[in-house]
Amino acid sequence: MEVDKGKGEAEETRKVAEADRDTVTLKSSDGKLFEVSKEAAARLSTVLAGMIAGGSIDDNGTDLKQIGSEALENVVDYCNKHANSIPSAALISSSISFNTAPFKEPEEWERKFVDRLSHDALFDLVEAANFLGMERLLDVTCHKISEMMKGKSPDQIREVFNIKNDYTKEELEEIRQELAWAFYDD
Amino acid sequence: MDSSTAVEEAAPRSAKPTTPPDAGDDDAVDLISGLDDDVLLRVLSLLPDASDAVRTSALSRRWRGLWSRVPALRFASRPGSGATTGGEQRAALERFAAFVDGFVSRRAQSGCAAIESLSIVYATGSSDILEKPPPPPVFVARVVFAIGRPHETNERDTQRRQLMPAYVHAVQGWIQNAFLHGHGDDDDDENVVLLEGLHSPARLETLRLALEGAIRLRLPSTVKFASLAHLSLERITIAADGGDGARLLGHLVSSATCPHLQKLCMRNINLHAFSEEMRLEAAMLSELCMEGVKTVMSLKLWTPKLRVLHMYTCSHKMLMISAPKLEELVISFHQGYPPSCLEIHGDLLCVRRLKICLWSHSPCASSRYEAENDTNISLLKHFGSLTCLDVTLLRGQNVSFAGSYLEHVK
Repeated sequence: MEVDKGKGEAEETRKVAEADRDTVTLKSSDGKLFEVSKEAAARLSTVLAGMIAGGSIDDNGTDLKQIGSEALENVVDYCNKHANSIPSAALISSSISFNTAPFKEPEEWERKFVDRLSHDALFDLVEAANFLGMERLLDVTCHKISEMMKGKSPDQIREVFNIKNDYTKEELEEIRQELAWAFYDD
Repeated sequence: MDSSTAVEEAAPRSAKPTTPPDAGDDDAVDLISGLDDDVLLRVLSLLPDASDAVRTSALSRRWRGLWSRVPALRFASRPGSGATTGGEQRAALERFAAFVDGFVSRRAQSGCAAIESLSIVYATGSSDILEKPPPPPVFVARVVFAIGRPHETNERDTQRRQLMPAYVHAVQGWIQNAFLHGHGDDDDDENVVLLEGLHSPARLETLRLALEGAIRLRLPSTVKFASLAHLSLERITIAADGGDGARLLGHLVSSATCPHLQKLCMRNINLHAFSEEMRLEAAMLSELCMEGVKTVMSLKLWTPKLRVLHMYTCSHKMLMISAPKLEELVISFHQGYPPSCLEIHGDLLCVRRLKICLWSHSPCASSRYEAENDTNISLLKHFGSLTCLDVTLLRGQNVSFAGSYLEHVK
């Protein structure tokens, strides 16, 4: 979904140009530019929706200083992929659904999308999704993290995420006793 | 794994070589502990079992006590725990119940956040059983009549498929002492779980209970879920005292107990004793799905705001429906046993979508199946504004004759 709007259009009044465009340009902390479907961005990100509605989108690249280029690329990639699956998404939201779950399981493509990420990229993406108010992307990435934790002992989880155990031996023993009830099936 | 190739077309800039997420080396930094509390709580709420969330307290100081603020929790019994004898199963259930009980009572202490989402699933085998939608009925032909707006059938079909699996999750709320064990007078082979002493402050919105195995649920007679909006009860055997189960179940899901209930799903509910009458009087209820609610002689629905009603393997002798706002009805009867008395109040002028099952070639006890067809046809007379009629033909090849039923619609 690359966009080939000519630069010449910038001559016209910005308001008109902006209304005509169906993409927005986002700029990462390291200065790289990314195009994303305006419709998808507004639908998937509360922050971008607010910026688009408020007219604070910059044609030359809206600064997102908190997000690095790799994470922003993933965000844009996710938005564009999501834009392509609009038909089913629109159908779901408009139809009567018995879905009362706070969380809907990731779809196959969403699973693949997060599975290919490196450890670092996954966490960068979580933070980007959180910053941009992307509820669904946040769920999908957090779900991936929870899958990496489930059924593991504290030691195993520390190993996976490089968590440093800063408890003293006494504290740890105290916690283990405190939480003995939570190890009911061991 | 070539999963990366699938995404490269949309990621033209630089698909960097990636390493698997689990490949951590000693120098690697701890990325997870730096996340916002809200994000970590979201991660914990997505864990399949709440014990995983509690145990994260042992990770480091950053994680201590986070579990006490997780808003959404799921309790799921572990499959394949190796319990085979009745005694072992009972012991496993007791450990599970004690854990749930311990958890919710700890969360009731001051300083903890209210549980907004809670799901309790107990299965003696694989808990996957409870996640799967019920098998489709055996049928040989299915005819969908799209009247007026043919494109609606696809959407309609999608809805039908979504309905059951989607309901399978759920639950927001606050439950204290959800599980208490029965009194000592029950025999050893049967476990009775009481639903007594439930407290439901303002936050309770949805609740899912799925219990399988030799468990009987004793329904409370005095409990109120003031804010409950969604309720799902699945695979539950109800311990009924003196055939009172249907009355208590009706009471539990009615406005008297749940004044704000909007969505209700009851699947595979067994009343231990044959019960006379179940009355569901729900002023706010908008969507209702009932499947395999057994041994209830008479079912009466007073649902002024009901829009969607799905009833599968309905086996009641008497069925009364008062639902003036109904828009969609899917109904199938327990094979060959339609209600001998079907009462529908008023003309259901809002109903656009109807799905029924008809027998094309009657098997042995033909009169029963004819009666079932007659009941279904009589249903049609109540619906004057259908735009979509979906007929599933059972056990027969004679599809063409179904076309004649169209005339009833017009």
